[in-house]
Amino acid sequence: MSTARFLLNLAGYWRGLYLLNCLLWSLVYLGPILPGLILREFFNSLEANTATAQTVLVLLAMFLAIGAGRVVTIYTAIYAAMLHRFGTSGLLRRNMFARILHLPAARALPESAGEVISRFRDDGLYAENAVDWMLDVLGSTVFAVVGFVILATIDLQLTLAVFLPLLAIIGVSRLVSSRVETYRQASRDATEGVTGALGEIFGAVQAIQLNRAEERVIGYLRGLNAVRLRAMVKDRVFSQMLRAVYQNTVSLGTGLVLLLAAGDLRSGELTVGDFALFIYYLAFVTDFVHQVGRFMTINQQTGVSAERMQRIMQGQPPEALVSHMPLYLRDDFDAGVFAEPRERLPLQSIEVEKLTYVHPASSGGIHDVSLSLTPGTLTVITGRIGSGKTTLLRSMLGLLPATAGAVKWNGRPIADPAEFLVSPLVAYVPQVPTLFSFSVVENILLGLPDETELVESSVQAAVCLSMTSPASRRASRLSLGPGE
Amino acid sequence: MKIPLGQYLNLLSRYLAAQKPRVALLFALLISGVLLQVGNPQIVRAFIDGALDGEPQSRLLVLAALFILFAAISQLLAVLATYLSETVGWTATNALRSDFAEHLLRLDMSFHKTRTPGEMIQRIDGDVDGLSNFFSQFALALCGNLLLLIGVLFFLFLEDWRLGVALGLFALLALTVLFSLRSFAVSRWIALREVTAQFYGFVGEQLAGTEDIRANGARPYSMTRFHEQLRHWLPLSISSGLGFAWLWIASLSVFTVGHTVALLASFYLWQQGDLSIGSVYLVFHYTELLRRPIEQIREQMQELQSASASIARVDGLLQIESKIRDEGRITLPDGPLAVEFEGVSFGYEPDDPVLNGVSLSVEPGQFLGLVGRTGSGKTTLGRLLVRLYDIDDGRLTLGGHPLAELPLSHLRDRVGVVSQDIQLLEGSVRNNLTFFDESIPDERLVRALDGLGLGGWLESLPDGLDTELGTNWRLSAGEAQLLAYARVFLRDPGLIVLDEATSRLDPATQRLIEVAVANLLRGRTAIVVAHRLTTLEDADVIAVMEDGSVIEAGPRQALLADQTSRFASLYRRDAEASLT
Repeated sequence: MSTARFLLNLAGYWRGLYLLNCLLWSLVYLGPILPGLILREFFNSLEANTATAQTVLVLLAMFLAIGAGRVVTIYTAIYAAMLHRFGTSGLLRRNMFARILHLPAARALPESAGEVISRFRDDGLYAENAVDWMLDVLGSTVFAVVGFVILATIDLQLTLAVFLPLLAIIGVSRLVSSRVETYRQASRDATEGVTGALGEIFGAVQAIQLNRAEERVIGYLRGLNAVRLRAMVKDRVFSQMLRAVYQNTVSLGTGLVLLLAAGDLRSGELTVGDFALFIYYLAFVTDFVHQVGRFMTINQQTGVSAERMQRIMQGQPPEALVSHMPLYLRDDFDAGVFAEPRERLPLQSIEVEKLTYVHPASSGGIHDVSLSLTPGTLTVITGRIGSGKTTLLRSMLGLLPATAGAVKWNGRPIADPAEFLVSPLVAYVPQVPTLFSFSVVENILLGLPDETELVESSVQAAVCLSMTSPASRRASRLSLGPGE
Repeated sequence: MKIPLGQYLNLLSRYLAAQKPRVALLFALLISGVLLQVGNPQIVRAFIDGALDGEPQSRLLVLAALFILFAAISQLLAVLATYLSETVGWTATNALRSDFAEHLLRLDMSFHKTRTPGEMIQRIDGDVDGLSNFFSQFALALCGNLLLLIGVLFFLFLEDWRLGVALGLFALLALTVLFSLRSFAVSRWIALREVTAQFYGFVGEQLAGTEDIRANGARPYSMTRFHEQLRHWLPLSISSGLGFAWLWIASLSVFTVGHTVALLASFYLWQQGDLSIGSVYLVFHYTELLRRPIEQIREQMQELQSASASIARVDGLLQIESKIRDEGRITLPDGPLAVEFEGVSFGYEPDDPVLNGVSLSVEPGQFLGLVGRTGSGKTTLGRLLVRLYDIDDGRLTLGGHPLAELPLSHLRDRVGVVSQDIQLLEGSVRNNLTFFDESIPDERLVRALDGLGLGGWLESLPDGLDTELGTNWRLSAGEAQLLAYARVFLRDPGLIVLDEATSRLDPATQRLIEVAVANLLRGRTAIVVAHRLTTLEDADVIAVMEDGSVIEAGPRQALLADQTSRFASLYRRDAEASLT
């Protein structure tokens, strides 16, 4: 999917709100048009020597009234923009999160958790910024068009001299666009290196402390930091250079106005008011050039971010990342919308036929494993370390994607074991159970209807633990037994 | 909310001191930039008046060319300044990141048990990112813009003192209004950062627990919680955006008023014949030029707001001190160590005791087996021995010395712990064994792995010790366990604590381990927490724990011989269980 399609898809989320934003931000950017015209009148009346205290006061009163109108517009526009921004990045994060929960669970993350989080956080934000930036581009374009028409009616030749440099700048930014992407990619990778390492380090605090490795680990972090510094400085300086080119061209434009206006101003063909208006609008045209130029840069960078988020979607078409799903942001939201129908087919038999799974990085895994289970029996899977016991269980349950073979429930092949073989049909306790920062009860129920007595009795049966123990924020407080 | 200026200055001087030459150069660039900016409007004024007075075209063209030259130079300076300020900023924040990470890493486990790695990433990287601009630009931009402000006002005074006074007062008003708004949004920022940190903590945990989520059919629940997080986040995100809106609005209003005042004043002076039209334009241009410094000071204040939020949070965490004080000076002799618990009490929370007056003693070289139900406090005993936590009451000695009298690093050198949850780093097998200690030669690593029966496994790895563990090469829980043994092997401690170390191994590996463990424990004091009593065949003494107390302790043979002992009955039950 092209970056443009990606951005338009996101902008189209909550379409009405985005259209409202387009309107509001056009108004915000059009704000300086009227003050500029007032300014022109002011200088013209000075030059023509017709200025009286009364006319000047009327002009300035209008100037103040327009300011008040702009204040209201800006406040409303920011409210609308914040709302839509939230929807944009929220949608991306929601789609990535949902996808991860649909992938074979033991291989759901393409990278370390720290790196994946950096995509949720930073790449989500970059995309949000880019969609928002389109409003700025639109607004400043509207200003440039209206400004162009007004200035052209005053002096077409001079107007072209102001607007032509813009074309040059757009050309320049196209030429260097590929390098923008390269630098951005490098700085993003370096950032991920740092966040990934932080995640690793703080996931293993105890081991690091017990091995007295604090200093060495920090030394490792410093190394990654240094790499990031170089990448970041390159990225930022390059962006600033591009920006300098844009601004320079605009200064060149002002210089051109000075050069070309010299004769007209002397001959009186151009009034001081006209001249002031040119220079006044030019400052905002700078904005337009800057916005368009920045947007081209941001567009490149967004392409990088979109691609990185796409990698989390593993195997889904690009549309899935931006597919318009509800975010349920209202308070009256009903958790029932996430309920998934569960089949209750009493077990008669499970057949595993020639199940094969090979770990992508090693040749390890399971090959052509077949077995059958009948109700009420206990089957033990045993073997050496690395012989594939866990892999077999995970492949059977769909937590790893089997490369060949089938699992049959009551003789019928299961199309998607991970969707089908879940509670209450199957209960599975992994080697290392994970607890979440929820209360103990919530950790046990994980969304089952809360029947406290039932929980009490299951827990009593399992470990004789009293449920009065307070909620723990993290698993480490409970010893591992209750986790299982 | 008050802006903690003292803390800022502290941080600034601490992290910028090392970069004085760069900072000085940056400052010089800023001053040159200011001069160019104040000079340009003068050119335009000369141009207008020159044109109206009918001066020769050539002079006007020179003025136009000069204008372009000034503009080009100031852009060049801007690029140089970016290079310098980014370098300064990233160098400073990187140093802060490392120091901050180190500080947090050294905090005791009572801090870490309540934090997720995702939350720590947000604190160390996210919050410090928020400070980046503060380091690279804040002080310099503030000085630069103040200079620009003063420069503009100076030229206005030169023009006409009344103009200077009017616009000077205006600038003062503008700064006061904007300054009074500076901390307006700080509380909103803090709240926003808090909720985002929570969100990423949640996501991080969910990512780590995908297997449990799927296998328990808990996806609907996860999705519900996810959307709940978003719902908490939205209002804070909007309110922080509106905080920004207020600043913009304030600035716009102030400048609309400012322009009105400037135009009114210059109209009056023009009427009096004190100003030329070119000078009226100059006044207007300068008022516009005042916008830049005042708005940028406002922007810096905004950065300061976000930096305040970050600083407050960073500083809050920096203030937390490890509860474990490292003040000991005594070193222990080599060889096996005696352990003595005398009436030791401890709780993770103040009013929730986990150990109640535990007394136990282990002679040097003895093997103590700890048994008891889940939650009886066995694991906690091991944690106390390496001072992951300090005891609340009683006395705990190693080699006859209270633990607090030993340097922490020495203590952790002499006591080796294999905990229940093996923590692995994403990285090579070597780094996972040595934790980046490059002074350990490969032969020692190979020998340690051989001693554990992992020699064959090591050979099966594609890159040997350089094999990267993590997403591409996952270790089974048993393999991770063996790796943890190897870590302890390497350190040659005098006391070893194995915590339920055998609970997750398959029988084949179990046998391998038993031999290795026997080697490991030889000549050392050992405390082994075990579920399966077969692990304790070689134990000298046994202690049975219940509800945080030792309810029975004695030589293994004596306890076994006494049919009424708890251990004997546990042993019988275990034997029955393994027969069925």
